[in-house]
Amino acid sequence: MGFAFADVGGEPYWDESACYRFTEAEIDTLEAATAEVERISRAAVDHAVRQGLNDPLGIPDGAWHIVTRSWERQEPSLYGRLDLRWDGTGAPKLLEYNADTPTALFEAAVVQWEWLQCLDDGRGPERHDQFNSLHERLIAAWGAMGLPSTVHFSCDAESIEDRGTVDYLRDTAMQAGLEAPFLAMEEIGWNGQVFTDAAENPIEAMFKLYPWDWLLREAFGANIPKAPTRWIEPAWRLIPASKAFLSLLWHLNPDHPNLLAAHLEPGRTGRPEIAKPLWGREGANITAPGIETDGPYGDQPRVWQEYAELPCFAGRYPVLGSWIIAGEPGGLGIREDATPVTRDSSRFVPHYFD
Amino acid sequence: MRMARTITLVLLGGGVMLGGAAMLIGPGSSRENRQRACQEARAQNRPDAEQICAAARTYSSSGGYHGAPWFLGRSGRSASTTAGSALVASNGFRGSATTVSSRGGFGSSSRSFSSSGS
Repeated sequence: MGFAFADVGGEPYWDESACYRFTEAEIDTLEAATAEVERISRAAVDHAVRQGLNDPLGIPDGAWHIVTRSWERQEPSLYGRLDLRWDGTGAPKLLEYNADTPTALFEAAVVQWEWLQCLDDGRGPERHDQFNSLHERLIAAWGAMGLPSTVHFSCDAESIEDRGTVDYLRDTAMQAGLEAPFLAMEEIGWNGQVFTDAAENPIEAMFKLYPWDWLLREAFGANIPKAPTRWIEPAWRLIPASKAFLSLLWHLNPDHPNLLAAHLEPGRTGRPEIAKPLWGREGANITAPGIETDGPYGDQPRVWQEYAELPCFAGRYPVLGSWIIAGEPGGLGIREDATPVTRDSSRFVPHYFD
Repeated sequence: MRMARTITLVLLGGGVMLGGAAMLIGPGSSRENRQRACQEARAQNRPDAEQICAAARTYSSSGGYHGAPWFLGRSGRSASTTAGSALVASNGFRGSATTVSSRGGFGSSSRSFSSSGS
């Protein structure tokens, strides 16, 4: 397909040397698990807001009112991605919820669909199907979010992967009838009353592929409560974005078939555990049996989750990224690694079902 | 689930063009961002297109906005903490035709942590 990040650091990222083949019943299982985890996640967010659980979630007091106000206004979420462990038997298990800045969207929505069109000498669409209605759902979601006519889009412009994801989302927003200009995060202005773009236009709504926990650590974060800007993802997504949310889910839904036991203290699951920093990303600073990764998040509090090693197929460890668009299951993207840890360099492998 | 389906892209030119589009946006390429914003604004007949294009010309002629060296040089303050209106005064002129935003207050974490999404 020739998309910009088909290679990452000289290594292939898009990998069609293999693919995953599902049955329709297996896709139904994944779709149902995704809907179920989303259902209990929304309930858990509501519980966290009502009970004021910001401290165990790792959200500072000063940021909590931004989160709760966002939830009470029911600001809609555009998208999220559940990372699931599943080998085709039993119930899919939630590894974590990428609720704030999920990526690998364009390849899931567009590139693997185009791959399907080319499969079997062009007869792929006749013979196979794909768990993928992401594109249509995104366009519909933009139109249903009650946004102003212009939504600004921003990310770290030096990340080609992030910029690709943002440009794809801009595309879907434009197809929903929105204006969708881009500016880099450091180009966002503050005029004392509102955030502004480079031409001093007020930013009424902002899609940011930039984590909330970063926004709230930075100099302009203090202006967020004063500004009328609608943020996408909304601030309440900080709650499921915290890895401590895995522990809250387990607390509220013990022994749920789609969850792995998780606690805020080590040794409580009674099984081998993986420790994850609350705001860690891309497999950094995790500790599990036989695994210890480095990274910049070593000073953060952790959650301890029952360790369920990824299944291994021909030496490859897949994570199933199940997308949620506007609160509903929308498609699947699979990332593989040669190790049990999924990182930003893990390869994207397409799928189909019969 | 199976359906007749064609994915249309209006910005990325059929999907294949994403590579070309995104490759333009390399490190320090905010000038290209603004020029592209100008082109998009004109293509969409936006009422503020000329304003956006004027801003793109201004930034490119000043050698790039990242770091804003002339800004810092004149005021001696950092862009992230100094309001634009104060800078106008510090230049020796009185009054301000427009309110100028301070910038650079977001983006620092991506230099400390990984810049990629999750």
